[in-house]
Amino acid sequence: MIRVTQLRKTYPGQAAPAVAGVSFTVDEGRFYTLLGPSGCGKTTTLRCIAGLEQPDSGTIELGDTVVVSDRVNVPTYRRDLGMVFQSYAVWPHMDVFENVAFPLRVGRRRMRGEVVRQKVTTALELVGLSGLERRMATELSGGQQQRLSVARAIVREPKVLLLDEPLSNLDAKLRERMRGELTLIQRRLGLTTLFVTHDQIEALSMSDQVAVMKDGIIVQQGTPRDIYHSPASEFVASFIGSTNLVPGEVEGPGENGTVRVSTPCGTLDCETSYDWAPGRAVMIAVRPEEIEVHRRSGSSHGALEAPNVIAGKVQIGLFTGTFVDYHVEVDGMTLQARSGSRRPMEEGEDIQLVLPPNACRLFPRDFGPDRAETSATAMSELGTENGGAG
Amino acid sequence: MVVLAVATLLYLVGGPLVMLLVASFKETHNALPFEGGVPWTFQNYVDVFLNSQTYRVLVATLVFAGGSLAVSFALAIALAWLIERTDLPFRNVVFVLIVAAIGMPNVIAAIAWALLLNPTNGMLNIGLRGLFGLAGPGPINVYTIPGMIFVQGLALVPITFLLVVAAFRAMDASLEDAAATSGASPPVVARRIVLPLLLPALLSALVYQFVSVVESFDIPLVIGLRGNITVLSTRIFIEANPAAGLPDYGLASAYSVFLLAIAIGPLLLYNRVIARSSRYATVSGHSFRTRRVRLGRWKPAAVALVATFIVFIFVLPTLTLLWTSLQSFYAVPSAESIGRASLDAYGAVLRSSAFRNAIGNTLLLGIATGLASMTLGLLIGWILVRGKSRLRFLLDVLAFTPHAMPGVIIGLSVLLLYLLLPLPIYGTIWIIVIALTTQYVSIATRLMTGGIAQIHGHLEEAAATSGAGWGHTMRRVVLPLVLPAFLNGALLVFLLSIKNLTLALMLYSPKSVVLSTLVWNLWDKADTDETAVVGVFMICITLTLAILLRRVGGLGSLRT
Repeated sequence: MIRVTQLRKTYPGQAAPAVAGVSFTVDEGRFYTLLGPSGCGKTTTLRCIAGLEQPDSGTIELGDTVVVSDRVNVPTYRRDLGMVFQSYAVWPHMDVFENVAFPLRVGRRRMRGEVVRQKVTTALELVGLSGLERRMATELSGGQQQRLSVARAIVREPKVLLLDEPLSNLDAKLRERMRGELTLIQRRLGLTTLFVTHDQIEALSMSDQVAVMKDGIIVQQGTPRDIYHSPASEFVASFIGSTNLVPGEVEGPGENGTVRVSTPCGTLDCETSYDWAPGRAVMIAVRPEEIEVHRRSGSSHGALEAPNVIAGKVQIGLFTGTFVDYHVEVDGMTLQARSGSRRPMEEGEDIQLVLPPNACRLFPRDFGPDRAETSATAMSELGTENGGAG
Repeated sequence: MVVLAVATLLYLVGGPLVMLLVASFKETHNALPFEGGVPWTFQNYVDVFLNSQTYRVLVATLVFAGGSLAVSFALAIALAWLIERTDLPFRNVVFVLIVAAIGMPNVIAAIAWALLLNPTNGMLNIGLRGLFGLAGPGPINVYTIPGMIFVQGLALVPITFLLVVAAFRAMDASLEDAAATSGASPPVVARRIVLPLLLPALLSALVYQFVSVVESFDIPLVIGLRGNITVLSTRIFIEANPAAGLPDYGLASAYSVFLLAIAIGPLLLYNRVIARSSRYATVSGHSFRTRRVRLGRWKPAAVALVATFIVFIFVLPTLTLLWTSLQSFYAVPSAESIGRASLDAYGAVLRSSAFRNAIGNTLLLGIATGLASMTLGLLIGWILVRGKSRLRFLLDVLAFTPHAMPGVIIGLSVLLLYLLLPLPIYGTIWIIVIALTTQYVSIATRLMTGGIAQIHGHLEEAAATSGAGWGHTMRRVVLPLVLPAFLNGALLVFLLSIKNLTLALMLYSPKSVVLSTLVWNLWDKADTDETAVVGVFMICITLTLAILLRRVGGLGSLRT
């Protein structure tokens, strides 16, 4: 279990805090991810937990041990953890075996001989490096160094496992494979894991819980599904996945208990459980894959009988294999939409787009200069009500 | 282009070495080595190796070298660690001050310490006697091997420091973090991770500085000879410039070959270290900001160490010279002698034509050497980095060789070469320029190789695919991009040339006096106040140059 309470950290010589009051709990055996753009404070938070940085205030508990509080600050080497670094940080002057054996030989509970050999062998087996014990660490490929680094982090069966962007130095193919393997290892060992990444796919696919960070605070926290389908703010909506953002103004109630919003693309009905006052400036977020794309000419069913039908013209269709990514011009705006790649639309073709009301998520647009703070407020204001949409 | 570069280097480096080797087999007790009818002989080597004095000199050289290296490395590692890895206050200022000390000429430092610590009337000695109620002479005698080690050790610190700092910076701090998260306490991290990882870089710095210390000449000349301590470099100088009688160039050459062997030995070992250390190349991830060790209650001790060092390395020597320059007769600071302070010596020096000639010659020498060696370095560097010629290997070896050649040897061999060649440069400033260019072509090549390697090859290829020929590409793309590195290198060579006493002293004539030889001659004549005045001028020039060297960090690439 990891419990972080009101963590704050400002680096000397910098005005803005790197971490500005972060609290979260990672339950025993869970995989928890801090996701955010660079500079959002996620790595600093992780390094505070590792003891590599000293926070200005706040408490950190690992298991039932308080490692950071007003009164205590346990040094890194006395914390029961394993960490995987972005650069892998495998020691070039040791071979594979010695790298993995190191944590067993230096800690408070030192082990010897056969025990060390057994544990190292098990760890190397788990990451698929058996047989390479006597290789020098630098003779390994990038992917193998990464596995070595994981083996070293888990070999002494720590209470918590910390992963600092461990996949970002791998090439795309290998990264995809390691996502699966790393998750599998974590599940098998039941390790309480904190993962830091800027890659949304890693965050969504590997985690039990995801916390999205921005400017030193957590702006939304939830299961990967929650975060993806019910982003609580414009920032989360645009940071996770690709999103069309359409500005508009609330007109009044629409059909079937929706809210009607006038936008440059026409009026759109949006499903929401929050009571929006008419005249309120809003932003509508729609994911490209939720927009239906229909041919206008030659269509068997003529005019579409659905809410939120808008007309557009295909600017370009980008074939990606699984789908075609259309850029559609609608009244001077460009919307992104995705559809299957079997019968692609022509470039320049006039088409119709359907934006289902339950795919249109509303956010307030009256952000002051400090968008982060307002959007965080907006989140707490809307958080739960918006919860079930989508 | 390649042929031109190889030919120039062969002329600059190969020619003098051949002369040296030939001369060492000539019977030259009463003749010049290349006069007609001088017989071939092994006698010089017999004289060198069967003389018990040679072994005394060898032992003195090795003790001096070992001691100075120990002092400078202990200090440099401590300073580098404090600045790179701890929360020492004013780290940036300290860094600049240490690097600025590169501007302190060794001959000046030696003279200043002789003024401070000579056993009869050294200022510090007299102060210590007063403090502890001792009688003279002493208590400290700088004219001893420990005295030489102290002064030389301090003088070696700035470059050693830069080499060690480069090693610290090249080490990914997450390697240390990884050990801490594995449960290793700080002492274990230091022993099992930091030290083994720094070792290759420290060893190569050690070998580099070993060459610097066995070739060191100024300090053995000023301090050693007064205490009857001869090391190999001063031995060679004495054979080539005896106080009385004719120089014995054959014997001096044989000593040189011996010294060359000593200097090269560790370099060969060092190449093996390099070969082994390449396996330490790590995946260079972008490393998070480096954690700094909190000094806590050790902070005052650390600050005191750093402050003492800075006072010793240039504040105290500079003040000593300033004080001495204001006293017509050498006097220890006291209320009475303050009253006698005068600018008389400054007037005398400024009026003398010798000083004005020396200033002119020094500037000419510095600029000419700076431009010549950097131009050569640029050409060689480009060929080494981008060229495809098979002669590159030869070029690399030739450009590296002068680095292993002690200054006295370059001085002697250049002298021998122009005794033979009928070029009218013997006794002019230009022979010194040629010798200095030979000496510094290694550094120039290192700096330019680094500068050119930083320009991505694609930039030149982009110029080529835009239709630019080789000349255009060099002029419009390569030169503008390496210009900062070029100018910085020229500034560094300028500085090193001005500081260099060895070559100037071996090759000068009354027509080609420069500041360093002028200082030495005045000191040798016991003209203390005028020595100090010229010394003050010299420090002003060299310290300014050292501060102008903004990117001395590039000195890290000096590690050849």
